[in-house]
Formats: sequence, structure tokens, C-alpha cells
Amino acid sequence: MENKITNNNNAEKQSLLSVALGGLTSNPVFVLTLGMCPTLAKTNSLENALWLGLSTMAVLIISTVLLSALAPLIPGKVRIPAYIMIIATLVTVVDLLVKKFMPSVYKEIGEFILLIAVNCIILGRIETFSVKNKPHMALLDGASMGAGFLVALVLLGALRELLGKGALYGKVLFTGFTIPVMTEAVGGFIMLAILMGIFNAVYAAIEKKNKEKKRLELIEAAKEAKAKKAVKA
Amino acid sequence: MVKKEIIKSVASLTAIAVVCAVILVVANLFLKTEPQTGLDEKLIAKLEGMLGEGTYAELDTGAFTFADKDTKAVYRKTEGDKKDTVIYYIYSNTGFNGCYVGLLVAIDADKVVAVDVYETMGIGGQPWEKPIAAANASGFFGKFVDSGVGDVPNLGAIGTDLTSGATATSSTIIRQVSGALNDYKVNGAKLKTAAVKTNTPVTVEVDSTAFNQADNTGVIMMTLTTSDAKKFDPSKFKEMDVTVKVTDESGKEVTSSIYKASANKGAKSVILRVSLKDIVMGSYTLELTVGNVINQQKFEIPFVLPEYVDIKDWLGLSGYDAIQEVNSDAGEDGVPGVTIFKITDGDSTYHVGYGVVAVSGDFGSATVRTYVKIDEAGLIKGMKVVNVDYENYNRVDGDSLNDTDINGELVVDDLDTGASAFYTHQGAQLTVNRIATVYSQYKTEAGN
Repeated sequence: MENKITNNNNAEKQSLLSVALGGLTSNPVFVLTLGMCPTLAKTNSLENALWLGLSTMAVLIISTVLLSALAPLIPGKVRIPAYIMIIATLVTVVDLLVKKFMPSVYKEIGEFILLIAVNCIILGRIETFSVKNKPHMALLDGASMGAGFLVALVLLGALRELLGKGALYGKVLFTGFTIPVMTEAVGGFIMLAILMGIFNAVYAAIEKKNKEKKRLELIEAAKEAKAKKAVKA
Repeated sequence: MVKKEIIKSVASLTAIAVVCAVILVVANLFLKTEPQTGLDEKLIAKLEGMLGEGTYAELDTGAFTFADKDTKAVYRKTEGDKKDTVIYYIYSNTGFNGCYVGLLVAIDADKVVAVDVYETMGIGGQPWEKPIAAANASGFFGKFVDSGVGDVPNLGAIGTDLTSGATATSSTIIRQVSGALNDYKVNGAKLKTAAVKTNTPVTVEVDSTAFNQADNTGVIMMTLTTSDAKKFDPSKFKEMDVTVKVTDESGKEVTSSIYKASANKGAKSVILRVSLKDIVMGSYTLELTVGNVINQQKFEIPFVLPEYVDIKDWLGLSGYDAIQEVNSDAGEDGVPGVTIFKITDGDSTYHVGYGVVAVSGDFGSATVRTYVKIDEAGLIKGMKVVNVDYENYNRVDGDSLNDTDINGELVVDDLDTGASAFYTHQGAQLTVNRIATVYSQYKTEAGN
């Protein structure tokens, strides 16, 4: 009985861990290739990337928790319009907040804040995870995926601004060795491809290492079982 | 069963829609953004495009009630051709959620002389193309205030001047021009003499307390005040775009960084701290821009001598006005240069003798600044010694001289000296003696 409880606890911990690491192992940008439109269009500077990432993260966290709690009350056939209404409301509030308190940022990323409502990360996470899980799990998933999206955008924004303008968050760090094309759309594709390549190569190496470790463990277990059997015989 | 399901679906969607609508109404109420109205370079350029070169001012319209409730600001041309032309800035919703047109309507004497779109807001906060295309509103020109054409139906006939397809924009512009004409009938005369608005931040104090010529850095403390916290809200100061440009006499920009202090809600002023690098003594110009519309201010930064800074800090004076130079002696090699300052601190008056000397020997050298506070009766009331090279202020304690008559026989050899403060001690000795001499001369010569 005690063993069963311990096993259940371990399984829950394992599940929480895998959800919490979702933003890394299933990174929305580098692995799932979701939300490509703002990723490519507005990561030409660190400032744009940071605020767009934070706005998306805020909407993602609130909407996933909210809809996880409300899902049992919404009839299946009208769930999509209901989701859209709630997401659009949240996006509008975020839009108003940014417009009011950060007008200069809003001038740059305003139209993409409204487009968060149709970002596939939001609807995707709600449909595949939030509505099927409890709010605390949805919160963890939303935070993890949101953070994954934010980190990807910030990485892209920082590198593109640094290489394209020799600056970081608007502050010029060096001149003369810049590649202006990096702040253009083309540069977005190039940088995304490079980062995606690096991310996937590292991820594949880790996966390979884990698989090898698991294989060795299985061999070891089989050897032990064989030895026990021999002793018994 | 199906019917029940449909009812449940409709009910849940309706409930969600109502809740969302309430949230949005409340959010709009608290987070609605007001268009910026203060005069800036962009607006001045626009007004000059409409009415030619000259000077323009935003009017204080606090006491006015406008015919068009969307009137956000009224400007007046104060100098140049078409002087006293009144320009209305009306910023209205086009009927599409989130889409606005900001129109400038200039009325000179009794007719519309210029109309131009200043700002637009389309979906997502982006400028909307149609109002810009529709900006050719010359059909409004020459429309008279009192001839009855200032109403909406008559102006509606002018809609043909506007780019086709901009229906909502056209009707909004027509409504705005009509509003301006109707308002001018009532308020025109008063607006021509209305006071100019002073809502822009005003620098009421520039305090260069922390200027340090030793390492060529300095700090300017500025107090910005406002009469209209809605336009310039000190509690929102941290989020505002603030730029400071400091240039020397040759126009070369000085490296500067800004620290914006926090202010409580409802505050009318806020402190702005600007750190400067690579500066030398001289005259500088400071240009301050707060937000993207509030005006710029230029003023000279007075540089303060280190002795003024030291005296102010030492005696806890509130400003430099209290320090007045009354006598000085240039000194020479090995003889300290001395200045006598008269200090007016509230109701009390006293003097501070200051001297600086460079001393050197086998163990090195030191530049020593010495300050002696002398009361009305000529008694020493404190001493401060600064070793410029090491800043070891406390290694010479002048308390032993307190209450000694500066005009009498001073025995400065007895100054308490910290270990190894040989040159500091020597510099202080020389300087106190010299201060005593120059102070006595001043007292005798001036008959003070």
C-alpha cells in the first residue's frame, strides 16, 4: 500500500517535471515552430522581442488557467468561439495596458499584440493541454510554454540587434562590424535557422545520451535477472 | 435533448460574452489613452505647413466648454502671418472600434483657412491610410462661421473632396470641421485672447551640488513641476521618454545618463538627476525633452568651484547663494592662496576662510584645502581639512583651535594629527596662518 502511494507520488512529480520542462523540451519556437509570424517580424530588436514575449506569456498563462477552470462548464460544440472570446478579451486588456503605459513600445509592436489572439501557441496549448488538466497543471504548462516562447524571442531579438546594429536594448555597444541585414526579415529567417539548428543538435545529443543510459540500465537489469535465475536454479 | 444542448450552448456563450464585455468596458474606462496635445516639433511643422512660419502656443482651455466634446486642444498663432488664427485639435472615433482621426482646423477671423489630419489611430494603434489620403480637405477652406454653412448637412456636400472609400473618415472629418465652426461662433473671440497653457514641465531648480572637477564628473538635480498632472503626470514619470542633451560652448555633446526619481500619485513635481561625464569648468547648455510632445527647455549650467561645494556640504547650507566672496589673496609657491567668504545662513552671518596649498618633500606631496569657520567675534568655530589627493579629511583635527581669536597669536602647531598625515598637517598649518593674516587685513581695510 505504502509502495503504491510512493509510486503515485513519484509519477506525479515526474509528470509535473515534464510539464515544467515543456517549454524547453517542446519549445514552441525551436521545436514546435509555433507563432512564427511575430517571431520573425518583431524580433529585430531586444526591446520588441522582450515585450512581445512577455505580453504573449501573460495572455498564455491567464487564458490557460482560466479555460482549464471553465472548460467543464462550456459545451463542447461552442468551445472554440468561447475560447476565442476569452482570449480576445485578455489580449485587448494587455493591448490597452501596453498602449497606456508603454506608448513607445506600442508603436513598434502594437499590431502584433492584437495578433496574440490568433497565435497558435495560445489555442494550441488550451486545446491540447489546459482543458484536459487541472488549473494548477495548466498554470505550470502556460508558464513553461510562455517562458519558452519568451526566451526564444529574446534570444533572437538580442542576437539580431547585436549583429544588425551593434546594439542591445537600444544601447550601441560597437560600430563598424554590423550586418544590417540581420534586422531585416531575411535576417530573422537566417538567425532562426541557426538557433533552431543549434537547439535541435544539442537536444538530439542529450536525447541520444539518455537513450544510451536507458539501454545500459536495461542490459544491467537483464544481467541481474539472469544471475538471480541462475542462483535459484 | 438537442434543444437543451442548444439552449445550454447559447446560454454559456452569452454569459461569457457579457462577462467579457464588462471586463472590456471597465478596462477601457481605466486604461483609455488620451492623445498627446502639447506643442512639439512634429506639431509645429504641421501647423507651419498649414499657416506658414511663425510661433504657436497651446491655449489654456480649462474654463471653456466646446461644441465638439472631442476637442482635445486649441492652439493660436501668436506671431507671423495670419496671427491670432485659432486652431482646433479634435480627436474623434470614426465609428469603428479603436479607429480615430485627429484633425487640425484653423479658423482665421471668420472662416476656415486650413484643415489637416494630424494623427490617426487604426486597428492595433497603427496610422490609418485612409485619413491620410483624405487629408485633401481644401473644400472646407473659406467656409464662413456665421453664414450657416457650418452645419453638418451643408458641409456634407463637400465630402466629394475626400478620397473615395474613406466614408467613415470623411464623415468624421466633416463632423469635426462642423464642430470647430460651431464652437468658433461662441468661443472664437475669447480664444483669441485666452491665456497660453503652461502645462509643460518647468525646471524650477537646477542644483549642481555634486559637481566634482577632480574627476571631471558632475550631477545635475532638476525639479520638474507641472500645473496639469493629466498632461505630465509625475507619478508616471518613470515610464515617460525623457532625454537630456548637454552641450558645451562649441556644441559638443557631453556624455550624460539620467536617473528618474519616483513620485507619488497626485504629486506636482518630480526630481530628475542627470550624471555628466568628461566635463570641464565652463558654460554648458542643457536641452530637456519629456515625452515626445512636451516642449524643450534650454538653460545654462553654472559650474560651481570645489570650495563652494565643500563649504555648502560642511556647513549644511541649502544653496550657493549664501556664500559670498569678500576678500582673496592669490598666494605663491609654498604660500597658500586664500579666500575669505561671508556666509549668510538664515539670521546668522559669519565668515569662512579657505586656502589651498601644495606641499611636497621626500615622502611625496599633497594638495591640501583648509576651511576655517570664524564667528562674528573673530573666534574660530571649526575647521575642515581636505587632502585632495587622499581625501583623508579626518587626519587633521582642528578642534584644538576652537574659540581661539583668529586675530590674535595662533599656535597652529598643536593641531591634532593622525599618523602619517605629515603633509596634510603641514598644509593645514600654513593655510590657517595665512587665513588669519588675510582675514585680519579684510577686517581692517573694510572697517568691518
